[in-house]
Amino acid sequence: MADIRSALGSVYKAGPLGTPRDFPGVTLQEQSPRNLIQLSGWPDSFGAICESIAARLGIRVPVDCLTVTTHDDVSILRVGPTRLWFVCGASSARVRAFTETLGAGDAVTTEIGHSRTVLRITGSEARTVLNRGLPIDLDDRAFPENVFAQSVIHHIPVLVHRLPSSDGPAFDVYVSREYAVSFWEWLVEAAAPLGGRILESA
Amino acid sequence: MLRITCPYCGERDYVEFGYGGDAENTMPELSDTDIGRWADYVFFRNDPKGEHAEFWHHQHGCRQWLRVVRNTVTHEVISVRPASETDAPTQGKQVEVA
Ligand SMILES: [Zn+2]
Repeated sequence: MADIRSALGSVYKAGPLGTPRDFPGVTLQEQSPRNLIQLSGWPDSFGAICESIAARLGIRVPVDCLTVTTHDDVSILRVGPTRLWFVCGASSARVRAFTETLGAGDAVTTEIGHSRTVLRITGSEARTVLNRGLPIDLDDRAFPENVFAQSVIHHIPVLVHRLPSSDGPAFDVYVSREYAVSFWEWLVEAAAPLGGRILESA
Repeated sequence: MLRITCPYCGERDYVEFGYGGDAENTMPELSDTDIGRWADYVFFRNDPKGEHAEFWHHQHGCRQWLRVVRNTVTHEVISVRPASETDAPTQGKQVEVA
């Protein structure tokens, strides 16, 4: 398969961000392209599909929308009642092999890794910068680790996943490739007053 | 301010939703040849002052179609359910994280 290339290109420049402060408020980093496979099923048979995923891939499918389960380097995001995202590392071949056993009557799978830019936002002000555009409560009680939300920032559709982290709040934001540059410009502008840095792409 | 509690995603701001029209307007049988019923269906809508059932699409959230009963005067949302109950499997309900 063709390599996935960054949608940000020359717009992305690592370095200090905004006002120098005693501590970096926000750290931004573009993530390496993700193997992302979307699986959509039908209400009547979706339970059976979830069972075969557990049996064949050894990953329990999240029961609730907006939650994530992870096993090895594969995470499953339940993005809808009958829709999943597989976010895969090197195990993507295993997931693909499984999805190829499914007929169109069972589920439809679509590779969407090429269509998303993933940006990691960390730091003590990570919530502040997100909430400058995101109408979602990011408080610990409402938005704990391994929960995600699909919403809009600056009229741009996003999926925001709160990552497990022992080092303060951390979020991966999935943005459609066609809006990546526009979103990046918004993000840098929103983060600059909080101070921070942009790391080299992962 | 209009907020809709999606059965799958919880309470969300209206910017995530798209309006999908009147949910009380039912299509005549295709075999129905009564021009009056078709004219009603195609051209005429009630415009109630008060409760009204309508379709909303959670287009930036879970992408599900919802049937929302809303008060057109106060914007109070009275009920929300999946547009097709067959879209509501026993799994995949709203996450409860509080
Ligand atoms: Zn929803």
